[in-house]
Amino acid sequence: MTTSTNRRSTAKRRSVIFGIASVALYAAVFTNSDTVLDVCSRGGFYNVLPIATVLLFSYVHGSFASNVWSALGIEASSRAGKAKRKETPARPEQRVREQAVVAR
Amino acid sequence: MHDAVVEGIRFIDLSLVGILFIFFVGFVGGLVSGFIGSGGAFVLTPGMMSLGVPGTVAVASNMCHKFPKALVGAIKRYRYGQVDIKMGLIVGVSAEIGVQIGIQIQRWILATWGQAGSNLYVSVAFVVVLVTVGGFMLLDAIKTKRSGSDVEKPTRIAEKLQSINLWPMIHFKQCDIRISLWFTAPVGLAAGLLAATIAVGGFAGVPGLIYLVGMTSLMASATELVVAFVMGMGGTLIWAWFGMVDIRLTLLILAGSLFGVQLGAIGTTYVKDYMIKYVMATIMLIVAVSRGLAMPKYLAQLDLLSASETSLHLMTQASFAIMVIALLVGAFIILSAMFKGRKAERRAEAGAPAPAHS
Repeated sequence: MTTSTNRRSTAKRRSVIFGIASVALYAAVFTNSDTVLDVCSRGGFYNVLPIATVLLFSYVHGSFASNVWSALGIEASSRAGKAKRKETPARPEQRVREQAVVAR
Repeated sequence: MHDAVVEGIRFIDLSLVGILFIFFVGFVGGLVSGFIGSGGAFVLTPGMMSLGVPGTVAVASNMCHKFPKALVGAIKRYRYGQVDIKMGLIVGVSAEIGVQIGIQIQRWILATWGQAGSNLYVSVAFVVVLVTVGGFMLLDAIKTKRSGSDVEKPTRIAEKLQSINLWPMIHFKQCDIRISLWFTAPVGLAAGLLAATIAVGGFAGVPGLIYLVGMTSLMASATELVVAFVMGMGGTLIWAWFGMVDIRLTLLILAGSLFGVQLGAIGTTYVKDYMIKYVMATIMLIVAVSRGLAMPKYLAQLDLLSASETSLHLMTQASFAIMVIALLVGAFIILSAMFKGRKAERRAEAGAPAPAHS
């Protein structure tokens, strides 16, 4: 319970930080939308600009969104990722190593 | 060359209603993509065009939002152990080739039969592929649910293909499948071909990974996000080279879709594997109806059918409305299954007997 509460308070803090950064980025683009649109639609090797822009936004805004869901308590099931690991058989060389450890 | 193209395009002024519409469709589209690996973007292009955005700018801006969304979704689902990166990259590269072939076919149809012929080809492809694959997936999902089994078994075709030792054989560690490149490449080609035709490659990619390669629905839908990233990045580089991306539209879609895609990814951890098939098949079949209603307009333009202007207009409007409904129905199934699963898990953790969730 304490871990869950800690996780949520960390998520809240991070969502505020990334939220501010995200709003700042969106404000920067939309207050200078004509310039940004002009530069990003010049074509040619300027094609890296829209790509760099969306990657930056996806990191900042994506982190914001992720932390908002966590802060709201909407997180993946506690079983997520565990079933797979349980089912995957050990590779032959790994089995040999494990047997060697047991023998020692 | 790109300068000539840039001069010809026009970027629209955005209204508050337009901004909210794009944000909302972005969110719902992201939710569906995060869950089934693709399929959320098909409403965005016609949606943006209904706001007055030129077709090419709508396609380019949509494409530019797809790859970062897919990246975020793929990272999230990788953390849940659902992504096979190697498979995604290999299928993604062959999908890029499929996209190029698809573009050439589209260009040939456009040159031979004009815009109406091209639109008709797209609609026929939509209806044929979606009804065939969607119908098959729905039946399979019903069969899996009725069997009461939690575990999806690979199909006989997938087992047969995996048993054929044809160089180069590749071992995909995460999904624990060993299969020849010659059998994974056609899945990518089909996905790319469909992406270039109807803009949703996942409607071929995900079923291909499930039924031909032998992945589980959960893994296939998550790996499709890697494929979408590779295809989207390649497509964006080309569209942006011609200056077609309206970065404002892209960022507005992303604002909603980055919330949606992560919620969709979280949702996959609460449902049984066959739910992915259910959602995908349901969306595919509803979209097929939508595209079926759009066909008479193109048939009339080609003088193959006579119908009044009013009825054609009504059918076009109904077609768009049904497409939006497809997305909303998909989102509803995802959210209700997710919250049901979440409730059941909490009840189980609290020690109370929990009913099996869907």
